Formats: sequence, C-alpha cells, structure tokens
Amino acid sequence: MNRIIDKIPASVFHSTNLPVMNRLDLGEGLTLIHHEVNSLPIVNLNFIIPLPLISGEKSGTANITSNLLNEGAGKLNAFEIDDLLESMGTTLSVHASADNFYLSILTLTENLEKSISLARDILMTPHLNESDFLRERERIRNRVVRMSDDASYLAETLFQKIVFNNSVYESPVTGFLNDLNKLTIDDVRDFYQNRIKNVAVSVVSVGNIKLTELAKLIQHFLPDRRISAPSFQKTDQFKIDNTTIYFIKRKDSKQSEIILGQPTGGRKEKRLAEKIILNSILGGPFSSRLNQNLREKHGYTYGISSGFNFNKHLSAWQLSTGVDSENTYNALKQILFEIERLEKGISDNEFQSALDHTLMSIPLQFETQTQITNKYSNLISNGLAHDYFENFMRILHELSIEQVNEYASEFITKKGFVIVVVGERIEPVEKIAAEMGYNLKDVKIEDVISGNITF
Amino acid sequence: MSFRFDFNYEKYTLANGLEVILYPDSQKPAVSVNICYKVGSANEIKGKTGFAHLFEHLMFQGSKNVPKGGHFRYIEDAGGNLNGGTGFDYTHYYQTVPPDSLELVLWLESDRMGQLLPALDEEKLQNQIDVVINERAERYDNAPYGTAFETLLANLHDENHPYHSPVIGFSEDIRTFTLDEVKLFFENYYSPANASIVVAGSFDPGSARKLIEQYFGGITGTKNIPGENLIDRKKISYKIIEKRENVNLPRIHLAWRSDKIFGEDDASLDVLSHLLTETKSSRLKKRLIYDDQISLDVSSAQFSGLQDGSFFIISTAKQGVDPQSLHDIILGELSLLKKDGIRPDELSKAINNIKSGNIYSLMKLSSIAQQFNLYNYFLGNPDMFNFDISRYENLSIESLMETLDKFLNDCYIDLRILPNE
Repeated sequence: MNRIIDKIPASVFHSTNLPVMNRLDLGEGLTLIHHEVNSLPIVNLNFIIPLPLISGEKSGTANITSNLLNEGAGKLNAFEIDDLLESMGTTLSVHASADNFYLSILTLTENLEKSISLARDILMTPHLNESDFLRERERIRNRVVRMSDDASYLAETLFQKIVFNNSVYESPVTGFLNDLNKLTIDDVRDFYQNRIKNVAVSVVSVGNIKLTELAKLIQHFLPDRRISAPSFQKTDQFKIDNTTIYFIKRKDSKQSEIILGQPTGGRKEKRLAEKIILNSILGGPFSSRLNQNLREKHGYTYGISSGFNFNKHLSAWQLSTGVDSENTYNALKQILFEIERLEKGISDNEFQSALDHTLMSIPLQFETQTQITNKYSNLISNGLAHDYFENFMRILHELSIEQVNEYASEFITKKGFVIVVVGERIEPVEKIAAEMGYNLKDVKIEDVISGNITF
Repeated sequence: MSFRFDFNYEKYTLANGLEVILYPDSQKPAVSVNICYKVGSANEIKGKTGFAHLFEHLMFQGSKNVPKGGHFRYIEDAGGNLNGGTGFDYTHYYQTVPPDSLELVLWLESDRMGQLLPALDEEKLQNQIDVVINERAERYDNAPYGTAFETLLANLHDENHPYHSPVIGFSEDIRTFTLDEVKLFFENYYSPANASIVVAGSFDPGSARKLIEQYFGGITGTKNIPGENLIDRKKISYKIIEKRENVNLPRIHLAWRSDKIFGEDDASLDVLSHLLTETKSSRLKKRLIYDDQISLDVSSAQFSGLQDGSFFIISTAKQGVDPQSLHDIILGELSLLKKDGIRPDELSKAINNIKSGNIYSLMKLSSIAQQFNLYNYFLGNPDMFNFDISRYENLSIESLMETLDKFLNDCYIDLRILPNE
C-alpha cells in the first residue's frame, strides 16, 4: 500500500464546561442539587445521608440495615416493592459505605413521582422485621465465607485492617464475621432510628425534569429532617504496622495477589494535584511506569495499577496486582524499583502526558446522567465544596513540573509500606522480606474474615 | 411506556469494503469510535484456541507508525479511554475521546488495520503470551469457580463446534503460537472488507467522511474471508459432572443448548431468564433465597451467538446445604412453570424491565457505538434499536411456553463445583 502518514494528528485541549448544578435548600436538613438534561426520558436520583460509623459499633451494621430497608416498607413487603419497581421499569438500590448511606433511583420520568413516593416509604417506614434480619444476616455470613475464596478480597480486607487500624475504616462494609455473629435486630433498629430516620439528607439528581417540579416532589414526600448526622469520632491511636509483609496462604493459587500502600492525605490536602500527577505516572493509566514495566516489559501480570482509597476522614494510597507465582519476588523487586525511581523525579514528557491525561479526561467523566449524578454525589459524600472540580482544574492548569518534582520524594514516604501477599509459595516472599528488612507474618484466612487480627 | 429510539445516522461502504456508520450527536461531550472485525474464537481450530484473543492484544503492540505502547499513550494523553474485546464471533476495538481527537483515533486505527505486520516481532509476541497466560490465571484459573464456564461449553458442544472452547483459550495452546501464524491470521481476517467502523458523538459528518476516506480508503486486503467453523448440532443428554476445587461453598450450574442470537426463541429465553431469577419475586429467587433459604444466590442467562446459544441457571448453596436439593428445587420450579403457565403480570413486568434496561444502557456513547456495530453485524442493519425492543413487546405467554418446552427440557449439563475434601 502507498499510504504514508508521518505526523501524529494533534489533540487540542479546550476549556471544559462542567454541568451546571443548581442548588436549593428545601427547608431544614433537606438540600437538592439538580442538573436538567433532556436527551432521554429518564431521571437519576441519589439520596445521601452522612453515616460515619462510630467507633465501637459492630462492623456490618450499616450494610445490613441498608439491605433490610427495602425488604418491606409502608404497606408493601419485599416482593411487592420489587413488583412495583419492575412494573415501572425503575431501578432502586440502597447501600452503605463507611461514610454515607445511599438510596439511588434510575427511573423513566413518567414514573418519577411513584419512585420518590416509594423512596419515602423505604426511608421513613421500613418494617425491619426480625425474620428478615435473621435471613439477611445468614446470607451475609455466607457471602463473606464465599468471598474468602477470592484472593483480591482477602488482600484488600487485610490491607484495610492494617492501614486503617483502630478506625471506622478498618473493616469491610459487609462486616467481620465476629461482629456479624453478635449483631441483633435491636442493633439494626437502633441504628436506623438514630442514624437514618429524620437525619439530614442531600438529594443529587440529573434528568429531564425542571428544578422547581422536582423540588415540589421532594418537599412533598420528604418533609423537614431535623437531626444532624453524628460527627466522626477521631481515633485515639492510629498505629500502623509498616515493617511487616503479611502473607495469607491460599492453597493451589496460580498467582500471588499483592497490595502495597500507606496512609495518605485526603481530597482536601494542599498537594493533591502533585499526588494525582505522580500517581498517574507511577501506576494510573495503562501507560504508567508500573504497567509498562511489570506487564509490557516483563509479562509478570495481566495488569497493575495504583490509586487512592479516599474516605472522608482517613485515606490511603495503594497499588494492587496479581502476578504469576513464580515471579512474586521479581514483581515485588520491580515495584520497589519503580517507587524508588519516582522519588528521583519525572521528565518533561511524562509531566505533560500526565497533565494532559488528567485534564482532558475530565469531560468524559461527566458524559452520562449516572456519571454526573455520582460525581456530584461524591462531593456531598466527602464534604467537598460545590466548585471543587473547577478549582481542581484551575490548580492543575497552574501546576509546574518543578512543583511536582519538588514533591516527588515526599509522595510515597520511605518510612515503610503496608504489604499484603496472598498466594501459594512463601519462599520468594521470605527472600524479599529479608532483603527489605521487613518481618514476615502468616495470617490465616479465617482470621482475616473474622477480624481476629492483632498487631 | 411508548418510547421509541430515533437515531439520525448514515451508513455507507468504502471501495475497499469497509462499512462506515456515522451517528453525530452534538449534545455529547465526546466522540466514540468502535471498529468491529468479523472474527472471533469461532474461527479457531483445535490446538490453536485463544488465537483471536491473543491477536487482539497484539493490535496494541504498535504498528508501522505507532511505537509499542503508543496507541494507549496517545489516547490517554488525549484524555480518552480505550480497550478491545474478543468474543466467539467478533473482535472489537473502541475508544472514546474529546471531540478534537477524532482524527487521532482514525489515524491510529487505520495504521494498525493497514500496517500492523511491519511492527510485529518475536519479543512482542512472547511478551503478550506471558500477559495472556496471566490474564487466564487471574480471571479463570485463580478465580473461584473460574473454569466452570469452559467446562460447560466443552460438554454442551462437541470439539468441532465453534463455541466448544473458551475465548481466552487454553494455556498449552497459547504458548505455541508463532509469528507466521499471527501474520496469516492478520491477512485472513483483518481486512477492511471484514470490518465496520462506527463514529458516534460530537463531530462534523462531512469532515469525518473525508478523514475516513483519507486514512482508511487506501488500505487493501483480501475480500475472501474464511468463515466461521460451522456448528455440528450435537444432541446432548443429561450429564452430571462433579469437580472439587478450592472453594468453600458448593455451586451448581445447569446448562441447556438454546437458540442463536436474534433467533426466533432468543427474546423468549431472555424473558424466561428474567422471570426465573432477576428480582426478589422471580420464581427461583423467591423459592431458594426467601422461602427455603438454602441458596446464597441464583442467576440465569440466555447466552447467544451468531450460530448457537446456551441457557444457564447457576446457584450457590449455603454452608451445609446439599447441592442436590438446589438441583431438585430448580427442576421442580421449571416443571411447575410448565404445568401452571406464566402469569400475565410476570410477562409484562419482565418486558417492562428489559425495555427500560435497554434505554438506560444507551446513556453511554460507547454503548451506542457498540450497539450500532452489533446490529450491523448480526442483522445487517445498524438501526435495529426499535426492532430489538419490539421482539419483547410482541411476545405472548403462548410463545414463551413453547420456548420453555422446546429448550428447557431434560437434556442438560449439571455441573457441580464442590469444596475440596
């Protein structure tokens, strides 16, 4: 063929207009944030209630409460709720994170009123029957046992337990088995009464309905909610073991699952932009240094990536990968090599690539109604300002490579890492633990899912 | 619900056979490009499983004007996202980028369609063989119940059937691939005459037409594309398979041979799946999870391709529950359904839900682009959105009952994954 192309077509960045969100305070404890879009006859809604678990509460309480809320509410039982949703073609889900409780709706606009009415019943008059509780608790316990077959679940659960030790973030949302075994229906009813019912709620919505019409509907179905959410309880002691490789032996593993990370600042931190750029270069997109090294150069893994586990109060930076068992040692060596290399700084090309990627990918994150709803819900969930995205983009535009390189040696501190490995062969891990001057500690799967880890 | 799709698109074909579908929508903040090559694992032969999928990986290893890693790097730097996927019948490559980067995407896609081979070498091939072996380990061999699907396929279909082997292939086959085989595969299947490209989103159609002609018009390739292996419709009889694995809970998988995609019973099987397991009040979920409380989960699916289909029901037993009791209840509920029939409200709810799910899935530009390409491939017309929905709207209880009797009979594979002793 005679087709000759020697020039890469250029991409040009234009300033991004983010969706305009209109905010309305609808009375005490009720806020509506809405963006009107009319391309499809559908509406997305997220009801968000702040929900920091209080230290000492049994893990899994928020999760089982959220599961039970739509097991019967108002005049409807669980099947009737589902039948109603199906007849409307509406999806409604209820779930909890460590920081918030969410009720999410995706509905055809013609069924919006009926959907919000149902949401009201679920939030205000759930049945919370003991028989439902016993069935759900048993299912969750079985699910935890099922999940313990999964190497990535084990690694993530143990990593969180260590890195968020002695805080509300140390347990999986589903809860540890020890806590689930002790949970009672009274715990659930108390939790609902004190932490959900009548607690201030924010509603984030995107869809083809006018702000004023939606405000009327929300006000009609959810009158004033007067109770503020309880505040987060600071942990007295936040001690992290970052001198040990924790190893979970999982029989017949073909791969070793590795998580390595450490605590980091949250979304409000001053040097967040530098961190985002450095992480992007190290382990963010496919072209990152870690993925190019471990996957594209050595073939140790199908993929490796790093990122931030941002919570409202405590956050972590972490990388995770599954590598073939024979190369566990080699992979860890390369991971540490890339972390050390990052401390020496980045090139102009890398800086520009990471900056372009971060800035120019922003419009695509606001493409669909669901994406927009979730993006703005994240602002609410994390207590961030309404102009957070615009500010972040402005900071990125002003960022220089000098600022990033100046921060490169501080981004990932050498003070130590929380490292978890799940797999079959322990010998290579012993070798690298010795080389790093780390201890090696075996942890049993039963202890991970029960929450029986002590430091 | 009377909603109807109305997509203002155009379709034309270049002189070299490449089909082009343009769907401009200036309301979108991005443009999505989806290329579908009509080749998948159904074109592979025994001993060479996984070839189509490995080839998809090699398409990201650079081409004459694009260095290794360049395709990902350029798209990511432009703020876009991208990937590829291989199925039994087709392989697709997709990227969504800000509107100004459309030309970049067309350039990249055309470079690998026209000039992949000069950039391929043994080192890249061996590297991607290692990566795919790891992908197989991560997603199948090391995942709980991960090899269940390939066990079902191997027992539903005889070894000459195009859907006998998993798309990712077997490690012992993947390790044997050579550069000569890769080159032959490219020449046979990666021709413009065997592909269609969709551009959807915020772009000017006139400019896009010019760019597509500029970048793809000069690419030549064979027009004699080898077809898929043809199905040998083996009649199966009931077979129980027990496998012990490193899992805590037993799981049962029941699989029947069913209808091909867009076949006359395909939509009915989707609806049957829905009313069996989709919601809390669905037949099997209600019975197994709420009434008898012996199952952790239950799901089902009509899985259909160009030539054939399969219907699956899968359920995980709670601790201490004998999987035989799950099996007996599932079969008992199917018998009840056949005896008592389907209620009108069950049918209407399922249809409603499938329709709304269809609408919700098209919020994303990349999904619209992909759907245009799939309709074009399977039905010869990219604009079959309303036809697709009407398949469900036109179903009757009688037609569903016929499908139930025809397919969900006593000829099925009963695979049980049990905890190691």
